[in-house]
Order: sequence, then C-alpha cells, then structure tokens
Amino acid sequence: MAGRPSQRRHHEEEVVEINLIPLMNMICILIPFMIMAAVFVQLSIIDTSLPTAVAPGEKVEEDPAKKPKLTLTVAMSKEGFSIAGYGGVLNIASDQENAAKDKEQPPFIIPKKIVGKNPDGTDILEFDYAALQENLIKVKDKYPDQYSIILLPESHVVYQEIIDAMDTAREVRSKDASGKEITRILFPSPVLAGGMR
Amino acid sequence: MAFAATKRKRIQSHIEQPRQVRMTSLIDMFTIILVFLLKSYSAVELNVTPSQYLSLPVSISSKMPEDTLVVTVAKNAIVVEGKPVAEVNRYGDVVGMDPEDIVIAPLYAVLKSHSDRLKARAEKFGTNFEGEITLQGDKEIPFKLLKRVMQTAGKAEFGEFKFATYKTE
Repeated sequence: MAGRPSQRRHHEEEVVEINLIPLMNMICILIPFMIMAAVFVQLSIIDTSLPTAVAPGEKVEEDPAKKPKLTLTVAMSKEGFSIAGYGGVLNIASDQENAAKDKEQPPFIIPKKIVGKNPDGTDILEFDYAALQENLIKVKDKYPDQYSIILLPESHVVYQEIIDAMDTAREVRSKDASGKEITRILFPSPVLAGGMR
Repeated sequence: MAFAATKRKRIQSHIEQPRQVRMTSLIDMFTIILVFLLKSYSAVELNVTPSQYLSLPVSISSKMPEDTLVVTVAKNAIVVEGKPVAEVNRYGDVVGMDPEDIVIAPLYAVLKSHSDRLKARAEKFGTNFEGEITLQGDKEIPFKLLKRVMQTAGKAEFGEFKFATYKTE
C-alpha cells in the first residue's frame, strides 16, 4: 500500500491580507468633507495703511543724531514711475551724495516701456517693473533700515498695476549660484497716498 | 436530469475566481487625493464670488487672509458685507454723486455703523479696535475709485487695509 503523500510539498504559503475596508470607509467619508472645505484659488492679502496725516504747517520733530529718515515715494503716472525721496538723500542716477538734505530731490523717472503696437499704430505702454526694482534695490542698499514706501498713483492707474508695484517693491527674488531661490525683502510696508488729481 | 455542463462553463469552472477585489491601487489613489485636498485645505474662510464684475488682482504676497469686515469694490457696485451700498458706472464714478466729492456718503454711513458696532464689541470684550478692513477690489478699477473708498473707510475709522488678491508664485 502506498504511503500517504507528503503534506510538506503542498503546504501553501498563506498570504496575510489586511482588511482594507475600514480604511476605505474612512477615506470615502473624508474625501467629500475635504472637497467641501478645499479652496482651489489661494487668496492672500497685502497690508497697507492710510498715511498718517501731517498738516502742511506742522513741523515734524527731528532728531539730528538720527540718520536722516527717508520718505520714499514712488509716483505712478502716464509717463511711468518716478522715485522721489524727501528728508533724505536719494540720488540713484549718480552715486555722489547730495549735500542739500532738506531739499526735495528732483524725482528720478522710469519711463513706461513699449510692449507692442495697437492696431492704430500707437504704442502699448506698460510700467517698467524690472527697472523700478533695480532702482529700489539701490535705494535699499543705501537705506537698509527703510521698510515703508509711499505709492502715489494717478487717478487713472488701474488697481492691478498698483498691486504689481507693491509686489515689486516688497521683495526681490533671485537665484544664487546653486540655483536656490533667495528672497530679499525690500520695502514690505506700502502706503497708498491720496494721489494726484 | 441535469444536462452536462457546456464547454464554456467547463472551461470557466477551471479558472479560479479571485476571492477578493484588489484594493491596493484604489487606496493609493485615494491617499493621493486626500493629500492633495489636505494641501488645499484652508481654515480661514474669505468668500469671494468671482463674476464678470469682480476679478481680484494677482499678487505674490503670501500673507493669509484674516477675518475682518469686507468691502467689495466691483466694476459695477460697492458692497459691504454682502449688501450693495452704491452703484458704480463704467468710468469708475459712483452713480448719483459728485466725482469731486471724495467721501462716498452712503458707504460712509454703513461703515460708520459697522465701526461703532465693532468698537462697542471690542470695549465689551476688552480688546482693541484695530480698524482692519479687507478690500476686495476688481483688478480693473481705477485708483480714483479706490482712493475714494479708502478715504471713506479712513473717515469711518478703518485705517488698516488688507487688499485681497489671488496668490501666484
């Protein structure tokens, strides 16, 4: 009589399978909830404040020992940006220091750049944000403690252009040698001034 | 008497039916979706109803929105907390008002009542009234309208503006 065949060879390896059904249940509940709470457009905010009013005749107390405080103003007009500083020395065009501290400097103008042509042959003009940033970096190098900037747009300037100017003035992003992105904060507190009529 | 099984059935009976549906790939997929949704999860709710009259500007700012009073300046109307306050024409002037007049009277009345309410609440709870206000403006509104809204809000003691923008990289 033949012996009983060996059981060893037929021993099947048992695959332990985790019961995934509770996990599935949980995920199926979580996903609708998450979809409800999800935001697909990320919103952010820009902080600004109204300029503190100083009456024209009022004399602002000045501490002579302190470094001259710069009132950095960027006006936005039909011509383009014009950078001006009052109460400080701001001379971007040439590097020499201007001795007349209390006098308002002639504004430094960055003209709009031509980005294309309209069908009727006139140029499509746009604010030159790159040039503005370049010049603001120079100002920041001279005044590292300066954080506020006054924006002075003309009444026809569109909201998006003002926001773009604020973005330009806030920080500069560049890449270093290894390709890592570095952000340098320039003037993170913009103030919107009344503007020109 | 039962008939003999057809050829097809005979073959089929040889193929072993899987006892359980393979769910691993499904779980993988769900996990990825879950992670993505968690990433876009936002605790602060700032309701923006995009329309042809309201499309926020884009900015690289990464500051999170805060829960404050919301003033919406769309192309056709000024809205405070969901209630229309004034109408705006396509030149960016408030309908029925002198464009030379900086303060927008109906907006001032509404904002003043809000600031009084918030101040009373701040006093009761012993907190400070910060005068914070979120401004949702359409990206195409001219500065003259924005300026009038800001001046009006400033007069109603809202001095800290938060411009709501769409975030880009």
